[in-house]
Amino acid sequence: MNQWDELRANPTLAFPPESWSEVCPDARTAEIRRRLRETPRQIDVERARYTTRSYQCTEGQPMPIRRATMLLDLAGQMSITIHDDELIVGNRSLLPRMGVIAPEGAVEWIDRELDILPTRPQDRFQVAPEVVRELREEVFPYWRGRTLEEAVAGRVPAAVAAAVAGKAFSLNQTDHAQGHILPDVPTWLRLGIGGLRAQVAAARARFDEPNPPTPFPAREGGDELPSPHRACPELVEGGGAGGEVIFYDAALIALDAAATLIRRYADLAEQMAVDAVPPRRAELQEIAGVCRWLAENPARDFREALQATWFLFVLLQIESNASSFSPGRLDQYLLPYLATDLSSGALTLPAAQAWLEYLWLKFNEVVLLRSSASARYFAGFPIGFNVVLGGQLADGKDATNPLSYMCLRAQADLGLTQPNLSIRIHRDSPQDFLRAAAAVISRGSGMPQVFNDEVIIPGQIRRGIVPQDARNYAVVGCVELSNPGLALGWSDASMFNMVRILELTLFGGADPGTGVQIGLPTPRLDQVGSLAELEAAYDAQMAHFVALMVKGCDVVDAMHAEMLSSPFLSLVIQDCIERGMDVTAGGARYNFSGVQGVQVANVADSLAAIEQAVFEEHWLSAGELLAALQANFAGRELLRQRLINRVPKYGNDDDRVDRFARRWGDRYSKLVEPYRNRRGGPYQPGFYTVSAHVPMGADVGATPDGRRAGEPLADGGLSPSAGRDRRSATAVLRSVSKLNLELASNGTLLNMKFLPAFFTGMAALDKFVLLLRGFCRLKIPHVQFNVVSAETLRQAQVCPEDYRGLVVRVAGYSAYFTELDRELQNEIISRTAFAEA
Amino acid sequence: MNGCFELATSERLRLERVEGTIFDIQRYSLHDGPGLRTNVFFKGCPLRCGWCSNPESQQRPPELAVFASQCIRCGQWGDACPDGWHAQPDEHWKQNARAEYARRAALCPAGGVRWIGERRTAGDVLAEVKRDAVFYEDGGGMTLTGGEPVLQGDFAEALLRLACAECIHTAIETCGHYPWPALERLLPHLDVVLFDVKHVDNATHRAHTGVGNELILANLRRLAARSAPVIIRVPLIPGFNATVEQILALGEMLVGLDGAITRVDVLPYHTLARAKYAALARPYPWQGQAGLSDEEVESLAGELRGMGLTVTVGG
Ligand code: SF4
Repeated sequence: MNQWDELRANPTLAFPPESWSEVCPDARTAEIRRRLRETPRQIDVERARYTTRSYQCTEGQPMPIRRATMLLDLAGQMSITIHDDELIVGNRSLLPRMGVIAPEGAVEWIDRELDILPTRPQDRFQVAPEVVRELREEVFPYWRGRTLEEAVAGRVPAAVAAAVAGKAFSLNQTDHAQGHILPDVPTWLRLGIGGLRAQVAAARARFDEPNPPTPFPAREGGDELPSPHRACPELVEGGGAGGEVIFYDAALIALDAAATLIRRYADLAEQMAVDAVPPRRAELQEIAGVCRWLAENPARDFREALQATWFLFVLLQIESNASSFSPGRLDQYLLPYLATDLSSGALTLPAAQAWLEYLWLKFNEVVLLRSSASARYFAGFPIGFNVVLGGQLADGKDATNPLSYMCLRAQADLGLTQPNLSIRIHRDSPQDFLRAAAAVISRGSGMPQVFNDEVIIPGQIRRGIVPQDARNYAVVGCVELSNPGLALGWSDASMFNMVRILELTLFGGADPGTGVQIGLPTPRLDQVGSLAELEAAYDAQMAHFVALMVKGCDVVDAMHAEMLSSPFLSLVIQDCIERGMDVTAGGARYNFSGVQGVQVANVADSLAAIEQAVFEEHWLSAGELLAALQANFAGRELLRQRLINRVPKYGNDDDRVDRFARRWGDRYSKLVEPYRNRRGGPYQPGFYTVSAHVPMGADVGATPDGRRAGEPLADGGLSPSAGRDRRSATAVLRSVSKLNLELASNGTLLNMKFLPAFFTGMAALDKFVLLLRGFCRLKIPHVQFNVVSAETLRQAQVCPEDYRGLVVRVAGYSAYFTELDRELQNEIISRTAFAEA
Repeated sequence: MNGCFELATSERLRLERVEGTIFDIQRYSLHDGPGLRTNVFFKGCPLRCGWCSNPESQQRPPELAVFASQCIRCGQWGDACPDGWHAQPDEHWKQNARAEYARRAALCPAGGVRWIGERRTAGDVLAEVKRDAVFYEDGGGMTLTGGEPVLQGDFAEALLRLACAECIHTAIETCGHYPWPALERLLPHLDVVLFDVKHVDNATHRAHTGVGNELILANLRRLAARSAPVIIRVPLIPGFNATVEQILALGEMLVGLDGAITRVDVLPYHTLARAKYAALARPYPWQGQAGLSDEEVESLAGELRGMGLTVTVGG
């Protein structure tokens, strides 16, 4: 038996239980990781410089051509390096982890923040003085009046702008390209640059004849396209109807750009080989050979597939400089190449593991420069290279394979933040796979996150995605659901602050602090006679703001199509070539806009408090509650505590409050889904915030759930408010499952916290897998498990109120961490700290 | 599980109305039987073990407890409740203060003053147990524990029969100290019995638990003779039974039960309950004993394994 046959028979050999507790990256991996950690983050000027020069030369030409030319100029002129320890090469900036500026998106905030980038609270970057000078003198002046940000600002209707200023919702992607997409990695690997060029040329040739264009050759599978995702050409400026030839010309330039960049790496490796000493000389010659081949041809083996995959993401990042170009199901795409090499003996399993980890390291070399405001929403440079393992194949069978285990092992070996690793689970997921995943989760990086096929696939089918495509879903960025190579999901279009809108409703549509009328004039809480009347007012306000949000998102969408056509990206999203239409204009097979409802927990808890205290038990009058909220509970701590502790809370499987979560979560979904975006696809709701619950909480005054003004909202998306879930992990899952989450097809996020003891030993891992199985049956789309650190536990000692849900489990005994005596808490903390060390 | 038969409606309604006193229903329990379980904690126990980790389980009537960690010093009273509560830890004082603290419990905004123990109907408890039914695959289910469930026999039986009718796996954790028929009547409705065995020496047993072990061991022999599925639970208590000598004696006794018993859970002593004793204004009885190191626990478990028993640490 060769190694591949052995592995196929027993995939766990790729990550056997004996290896779960070891960390064993190879020496090269350890060295690269050290170098990455020690490289300071700096601001790159080249992307801005060459983009500016390129745009100056292409004025007057069609935008797709200008964008493709920009990419070609960048590919030809930006500085490139090959580091001494690298075997997989390529980056979108000279040094890893540089903050790259795309001036076509925005320059104002960058200009404003240039001086504070090294010192701002989140996501700092160093800036050289000559960079500051060049940006301010040669780059920014050209762009003033020409950026996406200014164009959007000029087109957003006043009512929408007022709602944004009133913090009802945010409009996202207004100052940079939107990313958030899964390129067609398998096709890129299979066709290579040459194959794509031939495809584009063939499609373009249809327009050479005097006759109307001939139909494009039938797609594999040959299904009719689902109609809900087709844009009407007249809706789409600058795309379709006559724009095809421009599209194809731009695509061919973009392919030249790709070949140019890859060839430059071949040249550089060759030059470096001349002076290098063995064994580096041979390594460089190999790098040169691989790049030379990939500049025109498809990948032939595992190494080439890894290198080609990485070049794809480098090129996408150079073109767009955006968050969340996600690789998707790498355990599926790379498998044929791995199988070939292991069968032939060209690679051993440990060597293949090392190669995989070199790619993993590369995913950590790209960071995103965000404004201070944006960094508050998405702190820690998340760039969203989401890789998802396991799940189902197109025919519904289990997709787990040896490479799924190798990817888990890579996460265990490296413990880095990228790729953002996820697994898909379903009814028939193998026990071994879940157990191995649990072992990796127990290491505390929060990864892999867990996605649930049992609800996500039906949810996608409900949105008009054909079943084979739905079963092939993957994850974009953090938790957004999309279809690899088929969809522009526009998943981070907006965050809709349902808690803020409830606050406005309580005060008749006015801001309680300033008195300014932001929403519709509806009766205040002290003017209604029942909860039903209040909820009717809330419903009206929600509908009002959803309509405004959609208007705003449509403007942003239109401006992207006009200004940020993405010819390279369009090559790796199916149907764009066939239709001759840019992905931003609606060329993808599936088109969505994703808008997030924030946060169900606070809305449910607040309504339950009002119902019980004001309308049922009458221990609080409406006027008194409004006054207490306006005063931020000053002098009313007793009342605040009653509202926290004497009223049922979401997250405890208590129907008295969970029904509000269900009612308003589902209502938001229903309000959103009838809308169509300008690319012809539906709006779809999501429930996640990543870290946005903090700044969005800052926008909301005190709420009836006992939350003080400005305090964070519940975290994640569907999580209970901090410390309010006091029953059990299973009760949290049950509460969450009461929402109809099939509707939340853009993605959801649930965070759960566990003490490390829940993962100690094989028996504990097996019990944890039982929890996962229950999660799967409850049809919750996503969960992420955080193993609490010693630091968190110390925090729990300081603010026990926020950590009351932390349970301690010992045989025949029940207790909560915050109820233990101090000495014992300290003991648990030191045990946790010891395990971390 | 056990049977999975249907109950006549009238019988089900009758069982659902049976009442008992419990002090907690703990979902997502991991160490009290197979799979994921919901523990129903019964109030009232015939033993008074000095190391008891659930002191609130010992007395049957509901009692007041004051959890200092939850108190926010709300200022409704002259003193904060925990301050007065700990001042005079004798039973008589607590009886006098009962009315006052009951009033405070009703008005405490933070759950600092609490009643421990409530009368619930079997129907009501089972409804809560059923909420986690989706997690009970692979052997999970309901465990009656406490306290001593057998002491509230009608209530325990009602819960078990209702659970069986719902095909929920059932377990009981019991101290074994009662006349045999009290347990026997429950056996037809039990999938597994977690039977506590603490010490083989009668006098030592009596000195530290308040009762001798004759009844317990006699019941265990009967249970073994029936080949009922039993897991022995042995708390490893320093200063009581956590020595090689004692554990070997215990193991020998188990092996002597004609091989009917093969699985033992050893449960290392812990002091997690100290805050609960304080909340009940009771002194912590098992003073001055160092906990066992992981190595000590493993070596004691190893002694039992050496005798052919299957041993898990921590349940
Ligand atoms: S009523 Fe509750 S919060 Fe107030 S002093 Fe007593 S224990 Fe503390």
